[in-house]
Amino acid sequence: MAQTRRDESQSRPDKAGEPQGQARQTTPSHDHASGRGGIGDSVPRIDGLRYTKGLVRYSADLIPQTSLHLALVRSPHPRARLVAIDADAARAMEGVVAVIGGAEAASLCDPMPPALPFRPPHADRQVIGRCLAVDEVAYTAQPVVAVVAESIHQAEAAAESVVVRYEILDPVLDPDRALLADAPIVHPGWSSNIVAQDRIVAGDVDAAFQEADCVVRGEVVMHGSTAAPMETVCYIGDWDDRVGRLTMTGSFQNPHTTRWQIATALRMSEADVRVVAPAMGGGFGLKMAGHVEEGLVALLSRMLRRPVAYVENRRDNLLAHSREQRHVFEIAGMRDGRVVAFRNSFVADVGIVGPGNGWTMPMVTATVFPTVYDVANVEVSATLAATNAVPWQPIRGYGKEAANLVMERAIDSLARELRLDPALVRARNLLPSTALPRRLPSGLNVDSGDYPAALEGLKTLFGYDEWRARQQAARGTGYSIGIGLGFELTPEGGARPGAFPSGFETASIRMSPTGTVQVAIGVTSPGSGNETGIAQIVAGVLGLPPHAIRVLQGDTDVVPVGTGNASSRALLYGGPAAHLAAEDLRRKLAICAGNLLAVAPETISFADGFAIGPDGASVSLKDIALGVHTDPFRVGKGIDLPLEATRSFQPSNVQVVPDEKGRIATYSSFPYSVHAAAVALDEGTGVVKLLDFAAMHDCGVMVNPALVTGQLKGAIAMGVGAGLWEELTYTAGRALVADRFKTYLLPRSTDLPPLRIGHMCTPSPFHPLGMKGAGESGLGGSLAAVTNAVADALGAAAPSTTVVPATPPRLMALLSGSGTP
Amino acid sequence: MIRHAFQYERPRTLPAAVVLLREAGSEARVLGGGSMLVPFLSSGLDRASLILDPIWLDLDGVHADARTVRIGARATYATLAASTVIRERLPLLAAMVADITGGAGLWNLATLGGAVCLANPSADGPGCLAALDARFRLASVAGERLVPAADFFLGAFSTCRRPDEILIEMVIPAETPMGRNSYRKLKNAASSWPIVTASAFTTRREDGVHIVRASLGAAAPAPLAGIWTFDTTPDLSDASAIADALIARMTVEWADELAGPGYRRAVARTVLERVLREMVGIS
Repeated sequence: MAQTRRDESQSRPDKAGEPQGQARQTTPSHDHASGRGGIGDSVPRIDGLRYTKGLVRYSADLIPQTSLHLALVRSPHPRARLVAIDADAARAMEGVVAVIGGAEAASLCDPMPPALPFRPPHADRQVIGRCLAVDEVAYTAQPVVAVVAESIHQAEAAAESVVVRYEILDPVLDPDRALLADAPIVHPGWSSNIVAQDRIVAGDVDAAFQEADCVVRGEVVMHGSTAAPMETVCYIGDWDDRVGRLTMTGSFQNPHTTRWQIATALRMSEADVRVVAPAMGGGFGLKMAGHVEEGLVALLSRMLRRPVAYVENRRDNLLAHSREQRHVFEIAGMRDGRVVAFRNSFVADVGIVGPGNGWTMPMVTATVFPTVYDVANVEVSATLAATNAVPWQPIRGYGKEAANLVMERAIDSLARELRLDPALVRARNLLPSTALPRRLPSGLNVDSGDYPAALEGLKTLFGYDEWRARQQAARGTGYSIGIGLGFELTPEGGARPGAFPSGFETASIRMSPTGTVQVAIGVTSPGSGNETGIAQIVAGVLGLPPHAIRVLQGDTDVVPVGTGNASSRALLYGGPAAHLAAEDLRRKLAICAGNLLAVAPETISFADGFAIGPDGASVSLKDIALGVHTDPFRVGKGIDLPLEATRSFQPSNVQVVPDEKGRIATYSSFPYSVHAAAVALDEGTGVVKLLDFAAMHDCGVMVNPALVTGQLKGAIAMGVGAGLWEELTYTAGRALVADRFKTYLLPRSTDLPPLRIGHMCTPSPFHPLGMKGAGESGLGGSLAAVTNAVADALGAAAPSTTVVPATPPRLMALLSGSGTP
Repeated sequence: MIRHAFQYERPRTLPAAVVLLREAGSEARVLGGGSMLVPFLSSGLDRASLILDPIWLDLDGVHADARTVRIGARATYATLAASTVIRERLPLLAAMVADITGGAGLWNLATLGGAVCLANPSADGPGCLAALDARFRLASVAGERLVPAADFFLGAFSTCRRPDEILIEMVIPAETPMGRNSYRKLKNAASSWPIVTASAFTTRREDGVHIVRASLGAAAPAPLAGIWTFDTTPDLSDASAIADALIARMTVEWADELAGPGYRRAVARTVLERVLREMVGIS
């Protein structure tokens, strides 16, 4: 053995042109952009080719041939009493295995518990968590009857033949009405339709408004939009009757949360529920835990003792919605553009509260003000109203995009009133880097950043002054050029007490006898490529190439408990957890290498798959791994066997004990970005064309800049879409109108100019690797930039009420002076 | 998913096809590329009893003689885009085809014939074909008839084609060379369907008279088209008069999910004027 090892060490290929001594001294964990695939290198996605070649299996690809298929009868009414269900015809149809209503389902399982339970004094509040409606329906499209058949065609045909008789009740469809004292209560057992309220105050707001030179008031009305992932929701329940165990495979962003919710609803042990989340075709929050269909599929599979599959169609996918918020703001400034006070009051129409946590997004909105600006006097009032609408599904931005949009509209409104350049007004009010860390009025503790440098960098990158000149030159052509800026502060790494799971992530690393490294981790990838980043972090520590690291995600039987995919935490929390675990493994390997090379472990360095002693003698990690398992008394002397380590990371910049104002801080990380958009508004038609777009972005240390850039570009595309085209439209009775991609208009590549991205790096002082969250941010800033650009293009026609999205019919109504949109 | 069983036939001859249509009655559908029919079936919006696929009826081609260009009912947008005849003799139609979105997956399957039979007002084909003075050859067991566009398009999703008839081809006059021409459509964004389309072209008769044909599409339930003659080269004031005339005929406004009441009326003239200005050479 010893002889063999020496031979292999002699045959280790040295990289041409690379100074050996220097390479050995490099500490892999700080190996920024070394070209070796560690932190800072734009390593191509490890599984990128498999995605490109169509070799990746998504959930719906995994439906067993023997599976039954589920179709749902959904309520056509927003609020109604269930009088009778006639399913005789459906039961008699070919291929139909079961037709189940809410009463039968309720006898077999409990409601899914809320992912984020209410706290006192509302701890006894029940959410609408039953998988099928019982007695009453609370929103249009609520599942009422489940039809299971041998084929999806048969299931859908039978579902059409189910006759449900409803007694229509007075629905609450308007949030303002929901808040009236005499409004019907939409959640049984609640005392009002107020889901939550928050009031955040800093300074002496009234006095500051009185002393200001100028006060501008405005409104921002956001219509509903959605994430629209290419892959719709899919759940496959597979009950194993021999062992009494259920496997749920599907589009789960939070596998452990889903395991808990399903096990609770089905009165099972969590140990008897396995949740598997295969490759995902986009999540964006929409696939976070809490869809009632998750529990329904689980129940049906257990009932029928067969696999049951549910594949959501596009129409039902577009039922997911959020962002219906109406903000009234007032901003007070001095003649030089300094902002002295800001006030914002808003009502969010969160629909029905279900088992998911989408309804909490407006609570986050309230915590972000006044974003990146130095405003001493701030007052924010938030009211969340329940109505008979589909529960909100979480969406990228998670309410932060609304805060940034409103703040940026307020800044532009003030600049316009003062006849000052919007970039100048921003520059006058940005917090300097020396002011950070600093607490927002909400208690969130902003970590670090250099906002003025980002603005200056953006102006250069975008060509701000040149665009202003082009704007002047375009006057009178019929195409008005508008230029908009949008700053975004994006609290990331949510760690809200009471949520499950909350503020930590865990990684387990193990090296097999043949030297294979596996990292099982509680964070998942929605398709973003974070497994490549995790592999890079581990590879950097162990001196291995990233593709040598196998990252395991999304299987509750295999990975440690974790949150899955939310709040940019895969690398922000999962990264340091994997880093810690890898360092533990490296320490073990160093001891083993010291045993073999007869040198002190602390003198060992790791590179290219070898442990290298101070004299250049080396041993391969493969040989160490084999030696540890076959000759543990000698090779593994002094370590805890096996070659495994499990470590968690908990963020430090979180405050769960209420401060003197009673506030807690549940986000640890504050990436930011500033965006610039140039649009051409066709004055004859109201059509907006995006001419140019640039953004400066800072998420601290980037593990893989190419992946960060890709995520940011995706967020920008979503923000532009939300600002200009994407809108869920409904009938007066709240039936969905925009139910396909011909009516819910996503941006296409031809709608977007090349997106020019610049990155800055101010490392977070609170994060061991200097990282801030990446992946979610960019939406609010781009949404604000295009919205401000449209207002700029409208000029005098811009109203004080900003309606999002700025569709051509809305803009034409403003241009022709024919009234409010 | 398609929830009902239906008869699917691929007749080998036109006489066999029209017999099938007569026997099937009102729920018979003739398949074009399926880009609309299949989603309608999948979402339960269409309960076809018979789907007749005319794939063997030799309706795929583009044919031309001295007086006309004839487009087979099954000719795909890809076929039209590749056609030298259309490019050279019907550049207005070529411009319309070039602007069809949807990518290769759509171009290679979807047909202009299918689009005109669906008669969705918010579409490219009807307006452009109305401007081109296209005639539509329909066949049934009773024989064939050739219907001008003005009589073919009756309204939103409504044509004069009876369920027992099949569209064979579209016949477009092309005797005199097409002069200046322009096609434009207004869309909310790239994935939007056309909100308003405008088409216009000039030709010159042997006696020197200038002829202008123009249409406004998607603005009303059926396309609005007209023909104008001028002794001299049409100019800006002529363009304005044509726009006036077409707009005056827009008595009923079409509205849909992407553009509610009032919008098309507010923008139709702008779109039309831009096309007519291009046609007269002022852009």
